[in-house]
Amino acid sequence: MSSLVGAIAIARSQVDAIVAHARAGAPDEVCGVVAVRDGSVVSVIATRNAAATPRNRFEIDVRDLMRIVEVEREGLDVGFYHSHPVSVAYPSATDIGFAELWPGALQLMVSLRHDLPGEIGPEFHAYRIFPPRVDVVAIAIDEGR
Amino acid sequence: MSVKVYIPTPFRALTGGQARVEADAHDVKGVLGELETRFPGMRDRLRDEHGALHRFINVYVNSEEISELQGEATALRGGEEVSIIPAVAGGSAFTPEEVKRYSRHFLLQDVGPSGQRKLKNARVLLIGAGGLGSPAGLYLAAAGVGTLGLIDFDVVDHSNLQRQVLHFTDRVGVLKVESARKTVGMLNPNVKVEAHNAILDSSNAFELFREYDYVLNGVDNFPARYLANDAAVLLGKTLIDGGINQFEGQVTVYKPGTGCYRCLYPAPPPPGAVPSCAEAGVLGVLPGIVGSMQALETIKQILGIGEPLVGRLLLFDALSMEFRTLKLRRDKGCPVCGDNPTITELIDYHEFCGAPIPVELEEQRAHVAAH
Repeated sequence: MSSLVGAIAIARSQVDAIVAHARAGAPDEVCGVVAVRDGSVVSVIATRNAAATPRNRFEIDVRDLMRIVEVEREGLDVGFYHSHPVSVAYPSATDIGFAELWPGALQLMVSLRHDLPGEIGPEFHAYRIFPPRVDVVAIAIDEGR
Repeated sequence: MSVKVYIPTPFRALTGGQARVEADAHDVKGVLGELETRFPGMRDRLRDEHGALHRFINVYVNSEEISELQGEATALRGGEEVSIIPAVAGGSAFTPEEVKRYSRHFLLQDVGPSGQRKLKNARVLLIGAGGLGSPAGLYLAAAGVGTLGLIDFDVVDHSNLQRQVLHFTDRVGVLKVESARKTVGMLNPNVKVEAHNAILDSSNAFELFREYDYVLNGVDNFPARYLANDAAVLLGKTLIDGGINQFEGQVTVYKPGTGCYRCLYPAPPPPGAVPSCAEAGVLGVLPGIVGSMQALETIKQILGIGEPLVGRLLLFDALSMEFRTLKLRRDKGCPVCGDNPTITELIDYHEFCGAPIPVELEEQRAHVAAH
């Protein structure tokens, strides 16, 4: 079970950027880095997915991992995003397993499973994973930004 | 040579919260070694039990990953920065193709994605890729059982094609396990087929059964039937049993502790006393029905749903189209699963049966061991 812990603010334009990346990459999963300051997402950085089977796996390309160091060098917290083209926007067993490497980092997830014309559209959620625990993070979307 | 080392957030508990530390070494190996010495616990985070860097740990010198340089032997100059960055990875359980393929399962509350994951993780052994193994193998593969083991020693013969739907005319003469692997691959490439081109006997049964969660019995000869039964009982495996003869079939599930084939028939009949398919004939569709029921019971076992056919023997008469169910009970006096078992190891009945098998019949049996 998950519980609601904390909140994150994100601009509509940043949500749109992540959704656009997910749609462009579908049916593969896409991934990226986000920079966070005081509970607000300040930038979204798309990265390449280097997983061997990107249809249902992601692994940020080693050539893009230095973006993490750059974010932290600016005094920001690092978080991540990835897409689930056909499954729910909730961490899978695989996601939870890999979160051992970055426990507690902000994880934004977008699902395109209901993103067909006439459906409800992309689903967008945020988590912090302390394996095996998954904390749900409330999202406040700033529609004006 | 003094260099800066970037410590990633997840490792900072080991460095007292420091994001950057100084190290004094002339190559990457030296830097990592210094960190391992200074910060207890760091070694386990960086290396596996053989001392190699974990697959999910990336090390950079300035902005270049060391596998693009000289690995841990990469030389360092003063003022350079070494960064340690764990991989960022994850994934979902199913590909878009799988979500479509299994969409009718996903709609069922009792299956859904979590049930489909159970199917994907399941390992089922089919004994025989013949009359029963064919429909069972096809339906288990179609349903998304992740790993199918197949044991059969035979090659496809024209006389098999009237009922053994895993095989096709152009496969006559091909090993049945290879033909089956090909067909399963065409139906569902997500399924891993482990082909064992062998006769099931006392030398391989334990080793083979241990590798699988469930065993689906598709044999038609008594030595193999008793061997499969005994191996399943002795290893505590669930055996999904089926049998056919002419126009009649039967199915049951032997779960450890609920009885076994020997509770019904403690010892095999003398060789030649009961005819096989080759001798007695079998109606073409019949194994399709019985093998499909075995597949269904296997899936119910994997998913843990419904009322399994445990403690019940289902009898099917194809001519009257009637099903009957007999209650089965574990026999306390059963020689293998009873209170005081006398059979504690596997027996190869072809060697021990009382009456000798006529040579011609033995040859005939050798060609029809899996219907």
